[in-house]
Amino acid sequence: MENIKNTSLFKAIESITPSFVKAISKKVFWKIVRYYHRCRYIKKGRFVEFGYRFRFDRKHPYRAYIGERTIIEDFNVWNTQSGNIVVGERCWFGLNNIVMGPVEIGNKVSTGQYVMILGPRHPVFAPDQIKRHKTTIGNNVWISSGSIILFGVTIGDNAIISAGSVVTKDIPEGSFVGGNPARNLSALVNKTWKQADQNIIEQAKILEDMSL
Amino acid sequence: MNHIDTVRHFVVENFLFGDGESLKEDTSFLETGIIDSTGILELVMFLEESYGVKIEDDELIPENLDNIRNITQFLERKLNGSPSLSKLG
Repeated sequence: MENIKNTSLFKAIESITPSFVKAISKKVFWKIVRYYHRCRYIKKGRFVEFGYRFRFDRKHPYRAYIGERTIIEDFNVWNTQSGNIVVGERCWFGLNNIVMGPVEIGNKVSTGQYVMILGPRHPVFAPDQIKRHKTTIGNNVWISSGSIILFGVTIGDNAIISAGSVVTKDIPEGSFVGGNPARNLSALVNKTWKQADQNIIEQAKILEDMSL
Repeated sequence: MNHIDTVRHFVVENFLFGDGESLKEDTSFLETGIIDSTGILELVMFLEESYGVKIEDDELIPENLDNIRNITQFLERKLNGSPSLSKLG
């Protein structure tokens, strides 16, 4: 088969076309390809919204599944090159998140800015020796900004991850973790919250007495 | 300088900005809001670095870290190597 670049028609067109037109057409072409990938390989429910510059990288058998009413803000990067991304309903992904498969995320998970949810290990082993790790995040988890969730971590329901924490171990249900590496602070924080609730109740009582 | 003075100095310098007149030995950090969740991590880092002890996740409970007296008792227990309070019992 003759190389298309040696044909006279190709040479003629290339000599006429100015270089800026080539650059622009290349950009437009890749934009269309990316948009096609986004439409073809993300299975999404109703009312899913993508922000500005959503980037989606993929590799053959893997896909992303997004539940209803999930909102993905600007500058997100989703990468399914080594596993599926499964997201539940009514999640909120903040600015500039990075999600790499294989990841499974429950319903009503909300993340802050610059959160990284990582599925795969770095490929230091041969590809067939890599044991696939799967990151699992439960329902109603709040991941605060700048935190990193490493591969193979399981986070229980109703957990809260404070800002800038690096989660390396599994997190039980309903706990509050923070720091690098993430530590379980729920016993200490619960005391603070109980006291805050108590303060509010006392203030309400004082206000009631004043109004009476 | 004993443990109480060291811990008190750290708390006053870092969380109260030098105004430590109201801080007593049994003032609860968590109930009065002197230390929040990120502050606890700073305190734990300080204790680990200055005393060379390793504080486990189970030991991050109010009975160990809530006020200056608890912290000093916790530190003494840690440094003497006797079993300390933890969530597991």
